[in-house]
Amino acid sequence: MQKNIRNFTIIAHIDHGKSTLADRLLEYTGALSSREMTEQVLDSMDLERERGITIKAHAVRLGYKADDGNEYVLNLIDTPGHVDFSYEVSRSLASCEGSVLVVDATQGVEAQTLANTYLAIEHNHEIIPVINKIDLPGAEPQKVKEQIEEAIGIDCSEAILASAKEGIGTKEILDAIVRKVPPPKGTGEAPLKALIFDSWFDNYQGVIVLIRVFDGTVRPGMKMRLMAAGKEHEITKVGVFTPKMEEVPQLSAGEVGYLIAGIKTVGDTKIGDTITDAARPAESQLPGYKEIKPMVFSGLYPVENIQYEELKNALEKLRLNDSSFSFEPETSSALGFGFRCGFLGLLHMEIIKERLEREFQLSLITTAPTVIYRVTGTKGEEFFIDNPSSLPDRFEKIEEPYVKVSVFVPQEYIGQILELCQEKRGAQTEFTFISKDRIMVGYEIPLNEILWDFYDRLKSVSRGYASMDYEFIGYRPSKLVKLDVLLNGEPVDALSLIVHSDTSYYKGRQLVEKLRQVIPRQMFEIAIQASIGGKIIARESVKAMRKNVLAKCYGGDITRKRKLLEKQKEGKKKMKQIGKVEIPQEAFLTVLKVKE
Amino acid sequence: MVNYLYIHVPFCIAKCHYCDFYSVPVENAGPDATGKYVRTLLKEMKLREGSAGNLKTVYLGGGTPTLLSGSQVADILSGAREIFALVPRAEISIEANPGTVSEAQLAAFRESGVNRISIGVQSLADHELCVLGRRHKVKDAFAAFRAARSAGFDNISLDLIYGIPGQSMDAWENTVSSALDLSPEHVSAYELTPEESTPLQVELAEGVYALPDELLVTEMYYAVIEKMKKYGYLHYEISNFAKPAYECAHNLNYWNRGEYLGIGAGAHSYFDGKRSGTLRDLARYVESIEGGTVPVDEEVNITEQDEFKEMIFLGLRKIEGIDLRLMPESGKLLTNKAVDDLIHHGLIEIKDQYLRLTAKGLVLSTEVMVRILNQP
Repeated sequence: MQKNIRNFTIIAHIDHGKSTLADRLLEYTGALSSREMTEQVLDSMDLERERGITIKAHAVRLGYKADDGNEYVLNLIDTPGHVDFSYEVSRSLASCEGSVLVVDATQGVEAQTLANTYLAIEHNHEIIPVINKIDLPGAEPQKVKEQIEEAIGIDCSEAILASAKEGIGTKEILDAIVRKVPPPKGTGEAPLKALIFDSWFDNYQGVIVLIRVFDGTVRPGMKMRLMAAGKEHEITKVGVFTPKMEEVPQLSAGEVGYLIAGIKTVGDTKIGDTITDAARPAESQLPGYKEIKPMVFSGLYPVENIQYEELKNALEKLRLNDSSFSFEPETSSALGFGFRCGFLGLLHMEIIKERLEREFQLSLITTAPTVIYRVTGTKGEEFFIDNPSSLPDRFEKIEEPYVKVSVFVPQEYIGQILELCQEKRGAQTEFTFISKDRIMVGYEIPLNEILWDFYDRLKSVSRGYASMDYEFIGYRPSKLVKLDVLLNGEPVDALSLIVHSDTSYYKGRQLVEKLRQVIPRQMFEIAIQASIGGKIIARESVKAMRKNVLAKCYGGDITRKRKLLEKQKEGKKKMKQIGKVEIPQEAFLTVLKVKE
Repeated sequence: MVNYLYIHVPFCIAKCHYCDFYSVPVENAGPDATGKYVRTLLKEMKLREGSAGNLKTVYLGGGTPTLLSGSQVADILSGAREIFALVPRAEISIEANPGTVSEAQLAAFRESGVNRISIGVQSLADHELCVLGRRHKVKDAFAAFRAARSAGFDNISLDLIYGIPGQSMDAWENTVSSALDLSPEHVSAYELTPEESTPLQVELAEGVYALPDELLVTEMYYAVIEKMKKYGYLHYEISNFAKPAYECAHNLNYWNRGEYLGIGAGAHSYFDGKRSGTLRDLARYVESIEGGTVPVDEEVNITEQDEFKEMIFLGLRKIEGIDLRLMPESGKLLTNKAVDDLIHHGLIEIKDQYLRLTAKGLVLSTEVMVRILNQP
């Protein structure tokens, strides 16, 4: 019953109520009773719930009997809500025909929402605008409607006023999905074409692949072929999430569900790849497939060298589930053995690091994140570097990745935003009023500059009102130099940075000053120096520790005093010894906090 | 057999701002609180009969033990003699707060056998006493000292504190000189330590006061060491000085990791490989003893590892250091890389089989201990 299927997704900015709305839809359609609901079912990972963001896409099949008396199958495809995962978002969007656009009635349209809505429109989605949180005192639904009309250019006369928290508007949204979102096209008889829009590793079943079938039928026993990867596997199970996993005999054109085929690593099931029947393959794969590459690199080192193997095992385990992150062994003269890891973005990096520490109880040092530079050597040879310390002293040319950043900001904060973008070496390409008091500015900025503290400062100068999105636009030559840090005369490779030469002196001074603040006093004076091309440009020192003594220690509190010492001892363990100097974990990220 | 007895007297007129020992305002403790408490102490001793004997020291600490009357102290000591027995010339100390002691009372203490008194002078500048939340004035401290002398005490210790907010080097040197003019047998000089959740710590956190500069505090410490030595005192523990043969035997026992029995609410004990503390709650302590049980609140088994740690951090407190010949695994210590480093940095030294802090290491003793303990 293809004509009764509706595939849709929800587009919303962080905190605008996407997960709560998803919960309501599940509840209303009886997929889960309210008793079964743990808050926000779709965000299942602890980390996701804590951060209030959705990291992995999921798909849930809902049964809904509409007022016209027909039973409909509604497939809700959840999407990640962060800029780091925009490719995954695009594949989720490609799997459906409509989007519910949720905008917070008190906040208005944000950059992320806009970017995703444009993407949805590119995928020919029918957009159903929903103004959420209308129960809040600060709600301005009319103003937000106008904003959506002006900013996105879609008709909001039928926008649904809702409060997912209070359950207001849930039925109206379901009805609109049935009425407005077109049923999927495609035929069950054509050769199989199914799009992978997500996959993850399950300890018991292997890789679980989420698919949208465009043509043909997929069923257990079939030998499938991954068209981009060129590999074949035998399908053992197909099914749907209701949201519990439920096996079905087959999935046909227009349907959404999962398949299991004894695959061991998610790296084999690339998001965007097309699945076809090996016995009767489709002629061409579905459009839009891209090999996604990490954009941001950072070194991960165990604080205790003996944890190296554990770290390696943990990285391998995480990689089973996340093919977008990469790691390679790396040696640092300062930090010993570790890994150079590649991430989609900063959030992705933080998530991986936090999972390593939380789920695997590792104590880690993260070096400052960096982008990949394209270097032309003195003999004209071209190579890429993902670690500042590997930049040679002499080279012909260095190029860095640029991104186009779009910022949405209320007019009153525009001055600070422009200043920030200028400071980050940005060149303005766009300046548009999207409504009476909201502006969108576009800037071309080196990716490296937005890694540092761009997002935090964007939020702080706009009191949280500005939002942003960015996309990679290519490599451009830059005047870049390597800034080295020396502790008591010894260079510390893990603290090296690549910076723009115009601000290099200033950054060098800032960096040594910051390091002076985070490196605790030790038994001797520590000289901290910054150098460029062998020339010292800044120096600070951490004076020797003067005093650390317990004045009193008598019978009463010997156990307490022992515990006190043990606590200090634990503190020491979190330090990394580099030569004779002990450096706290956070020192390696201090470089991030250096302002222009 | 445990030969050292500590008796805690948890009453004060008011709590000093820096103190985190267990005590309650005597006014709020009910009628005849001290009398009732003394009777309870005697009962606890009875309950503990057999766990200590041939006492070499008895130490009445607090709180403010001098809130007890002469006869109450006499009752406690005769109880201790009767139940545990004392060796001849046992050291019997009492802590005294200026302003709470009369000459008659001191004479009665002396009469009952107390032979050492430790006076909480703290500072000889009135405004500093005020910052500390002490209730006495400088003149009370002098009066207490003279009263103790005339009551016949020939072993008097004075407690002094440096690093008080607003204190200058001159002020500290003046306190030390004035104290030495009295020629006490023993002096304890403590750096002011803001303990967790004391009023002082709150005041510092709120910026009402600020501690003097660290460098100045370090100099104050070196200054008192120098001065005491010049006057013929032995510097025998990080914060303690004594005329020859007047070291406090009771406290030395702590640093030597000797066993001791603690009696009273909030008192601590160490024997049979366990460190334990009695309930820090006067009413419940009394109730429990009445019911025939010693209310042990916290009890920690001292493992071999703990023992090693204690040897390090207690042993290094003594200026003579750790006698390596008495240390079971001293070999482990000598091959410890941290020990090497610390010797290299001049913070510790090994001389005549003793491992000890150098003058430079004294002010970094905690750092030294942590570093040694950090090595496996």
